[in-house]
Amino acid sequence: MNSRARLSLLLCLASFAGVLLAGLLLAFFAQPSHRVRWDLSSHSTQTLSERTTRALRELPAESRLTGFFFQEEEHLLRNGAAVYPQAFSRLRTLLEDARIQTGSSLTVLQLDATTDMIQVEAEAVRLKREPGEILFLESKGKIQRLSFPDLFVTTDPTADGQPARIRQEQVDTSLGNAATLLIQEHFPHIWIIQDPTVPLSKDLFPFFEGQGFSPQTVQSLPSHKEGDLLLIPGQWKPFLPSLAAEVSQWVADGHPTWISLGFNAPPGVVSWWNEVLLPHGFAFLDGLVCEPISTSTGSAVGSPDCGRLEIRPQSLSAQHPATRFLTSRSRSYLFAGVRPLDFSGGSNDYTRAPLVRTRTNAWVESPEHPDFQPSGHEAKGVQNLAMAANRWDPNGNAPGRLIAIGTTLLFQQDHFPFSKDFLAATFRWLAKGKEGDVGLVPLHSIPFRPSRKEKVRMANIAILGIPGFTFLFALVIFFRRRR
Amino acid sequence: MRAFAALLRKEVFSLFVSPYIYLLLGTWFLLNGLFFSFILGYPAVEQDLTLFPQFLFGSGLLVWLLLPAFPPLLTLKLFAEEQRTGTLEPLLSAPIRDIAIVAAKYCAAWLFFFVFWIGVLLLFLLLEFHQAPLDWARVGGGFLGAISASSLFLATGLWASSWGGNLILAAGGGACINFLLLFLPVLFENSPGRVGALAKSLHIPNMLDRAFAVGLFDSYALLFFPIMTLLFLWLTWVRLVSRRWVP
Repeated sequence: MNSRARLSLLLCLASFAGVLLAGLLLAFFAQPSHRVRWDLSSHSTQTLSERTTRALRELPAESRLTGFFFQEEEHLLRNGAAVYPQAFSRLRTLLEDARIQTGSSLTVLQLDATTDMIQVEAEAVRLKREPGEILFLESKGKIQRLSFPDLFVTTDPTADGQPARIRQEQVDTSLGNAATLLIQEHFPHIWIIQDPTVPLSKDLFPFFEGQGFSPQTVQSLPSHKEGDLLLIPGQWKPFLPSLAAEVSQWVADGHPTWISLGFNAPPGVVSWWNEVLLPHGFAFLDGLVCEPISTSTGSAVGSPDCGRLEIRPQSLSAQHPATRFLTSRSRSYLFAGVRPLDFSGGSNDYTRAPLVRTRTNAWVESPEHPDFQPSGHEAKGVQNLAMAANRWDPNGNAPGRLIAIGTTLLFQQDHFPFSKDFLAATFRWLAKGKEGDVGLVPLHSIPFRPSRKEKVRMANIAILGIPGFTFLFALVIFFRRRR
Repeated sequence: MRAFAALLRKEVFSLFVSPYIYLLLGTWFLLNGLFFSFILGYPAVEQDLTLFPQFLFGSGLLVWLLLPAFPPLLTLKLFAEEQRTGTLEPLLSAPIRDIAIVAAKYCAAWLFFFVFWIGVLLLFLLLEFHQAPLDWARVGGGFLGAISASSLFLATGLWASSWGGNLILAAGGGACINFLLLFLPVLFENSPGRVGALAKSLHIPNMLDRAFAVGLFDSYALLFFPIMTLLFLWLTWVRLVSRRWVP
């Protein structure tokens, strides 16, 4: 071996030894058990809580946490809002913390505008992502989805130029809840009592599965576990006595229930449900809710299309947790063939609230002599289209959540794609009734708006003053050295 | 130790009286001043000043452009110039240990690069002077991260400078290594399996953006930079002493 080859070999060996030692040291210190993180930021919220970290660690190996960081909601960008930069900054920091704290058991994938778009698209298709959904926690084929409003509470931009702001955030709690749900053996069932004459969308079951539920059509109520839901997406015939007794008992026991009855549901079915819902304090009324149709020449009445209602975000309850987040989205929903609901009787055990209401120019069309225009004898004004009730219990032991809605078309092929986020939000509220603590924490913003004069002064010092002085110094040294 | 101190004094002095270095310093201040003014006018930062350290030290051009490029420009002369002018051999044969030579040259470059950061600190003091409500834990974290990263990049620059007497190779090689250290983990961070995990654990921008610049001090990130810096100083030392290994 000549001396050059020997030198190269020795160099390589020594270099390799150094790289190996550095690699071993870094691998040792990268272990979650050998790693310490000190949060010295002014509000100390840059790390996940012990509860969330524990839940994430308990997830089986090869679980995945995928984040989509894309600025999708136009109203959160208006007037130079800082909502997305703030939100994504927090999410990135907390997801990084999740990755570090869980070691190799959780794969964390953060996708944003700098990521390969093919990979982003592939992940979005694989996860059946809907716009606005930010985080996906997967484990053993089960998925929990968290949309932007699940994580952050924002205000809307105002007409006078104020941008949207993040008021509070609940990333840690939402992530902890999602992980807790995934490590549970039991995945909440949605027992669907389906009338064969009411066809459901073929996308409904995959949609429910994507939301972390296990949907199943049943003819009688099976033995259930805590958290299971009952869905009646429309009913044309009365239940058989045995099933009627089971359903009645289910509702009376306070299990989560969603009941949809369209404007053309048989009177016997409606009156049976009104009896069952008596303690909840509301009832289905008769008739078809109509609103004037907006045309280019103004409002028009007299057409059956009056029964197709455009539900604007302002028509959703801004107070109720089931719909609160939807009000900030600038999109409308389509409710068609809707039967009105109204408060009626009720016990003090339940609190009740309208979820969806019409505009003031609505009326209830009588099914006997429909002329699709408001007549003298028909009810007019704001109509309730969906109502929610939950049992008042200081201990939170019996949530007793129920949603009644006057249309069945939400679950059917044509209307379902436009109702997904409404259904996701309301079913989430129904299912997660026991989660009393929403974990909202304030997110502190420090606005700083210097005057134009101050800005110019700072820019002058930063761009001209400090560099100019340094260049001058360089010139002085140059000439001194030349001398 | 005395020889180390003498060599350090000499190196620091030669840096402080070099017009080229001040030209570099002025360019650094100018570009940072431009970034500073641009970020300050960004609507999101006007809404929330806590984002400022992240924008400057975490995801901005300071990290992606200036930080990898400037340290090799500072260190390029330290060994390459000595080799070019033929003063390295006398230095290596002088009664001073090789490790002291490497340490003295590195410390001199590090001390001078600290002046680079003092200029950036002046910009934050300027903000403070204008009653900006700064979160100093984040600002301090951002500085600590940036100084740690620049320490590593100075070490890579020094290593590149030890390769030979070509100044362009020294500057270009150092910058190239630094850009690779920054970009390679980014390219592979979403890869499955061990490659992705390795890329994430070597991801310098993530350490700056998601730890230091948000006021979060992570023991791994705090140790990563010194370990990597020592590795490149070791490689520099190996390069120097290897001249003696073969007759």
